Amino acid sequence: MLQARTPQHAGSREQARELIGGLSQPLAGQRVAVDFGPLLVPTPSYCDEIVKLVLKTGGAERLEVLNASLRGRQLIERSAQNRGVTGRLRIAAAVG
Amino acid sequence: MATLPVEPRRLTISSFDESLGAGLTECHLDSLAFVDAYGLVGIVVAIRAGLAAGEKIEVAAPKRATMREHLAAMGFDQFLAQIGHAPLEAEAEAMESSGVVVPLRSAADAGGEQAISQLLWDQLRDRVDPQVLAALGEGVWEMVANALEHSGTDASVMAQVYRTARFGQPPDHDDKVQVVIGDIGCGIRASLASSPAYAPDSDLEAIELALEYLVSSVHEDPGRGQGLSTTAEQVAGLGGKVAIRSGESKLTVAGEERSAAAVPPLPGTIVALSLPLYPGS
Repeated sequence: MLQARTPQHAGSREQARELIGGLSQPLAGQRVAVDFGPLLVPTPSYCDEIVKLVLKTGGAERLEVLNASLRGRQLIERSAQNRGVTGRLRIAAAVG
Repeated sequence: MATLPVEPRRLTISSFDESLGAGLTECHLDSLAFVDAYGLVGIVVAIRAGLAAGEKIEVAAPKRATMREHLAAMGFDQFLAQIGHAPLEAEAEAMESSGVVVPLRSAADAGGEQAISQLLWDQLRDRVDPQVLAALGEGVWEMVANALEHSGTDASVMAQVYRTARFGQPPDHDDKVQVVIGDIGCGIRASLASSPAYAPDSDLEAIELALEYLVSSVHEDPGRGQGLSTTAEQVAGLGGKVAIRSGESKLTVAGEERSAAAVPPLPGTIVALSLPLYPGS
């Protein structure tokens, strides 16, 4: 399982690329867990870019979303629907 | 020739465009008695556009010392210094009482959308409802990123709190926070028209298109085009307003209501997010 943890302040697609790029491994066929716990303000762009990089272009087996706020969960689910990858998304340990 | 030919007393989200002419060479602020964040960012966008067109801009400072100090507190002096203009001869000490929470900033100089968002968060987290803070944070991230990515230029950002109640009294329903982001880029119409998927016939049509979910100049990526629509949705859900000015049109969205206005042309886009400090108060 590959794991990443968001910083407190992040919201751009570029920062999502930095976060996922930091995994430093091919994502294809892997399970990737992203901990959204520290993130103060989830944005549509940030959440969408993570979904895109992990599940669409990265081809990971699964994206597990941890500790996301209600708004973060909504944005991630919407992005997964837009990109047709909801079947490989797992959202766990809800807060807020 | 002057963009502000009528020496306005007020430059606000309601009156700025009425004061605006075409082709800025002189900016008469002599009579100014009140300016909000939209008015200030509007002036800055007009001045930056004039300078980009090769004009030499003269700014006439307000006669009132308190107004000069207020403009300095809003960050206007710093902007004038950046463009090589003489300062307003005022002390910028009145930030707290003026309600300025993020003085006028160049997004690029400040460190981009992350720095602006963090500044806004730090200044507002104890002063507004948490839902308002979250909606503003989300909107500012998205709008500043839009400006920097799609306009091809820098963005000017400012945030101010307006309180009608006196200090120590509970918040009034008219108390609000206004955050404004402006750029002098290609504007929404040209940005969308760069995609083969869209060919808006007017600035107003382009703004309305951009408010639709998943409409973006990056049309080949199916997840793009969420920022403006979700920001408008969030702001409206909290009883706020979003005003989008691009080219020759301005559209204000307040819940289900939309009002459009023809405005004097300016390059780029200005987006204003206005929210009550405490929705439901």
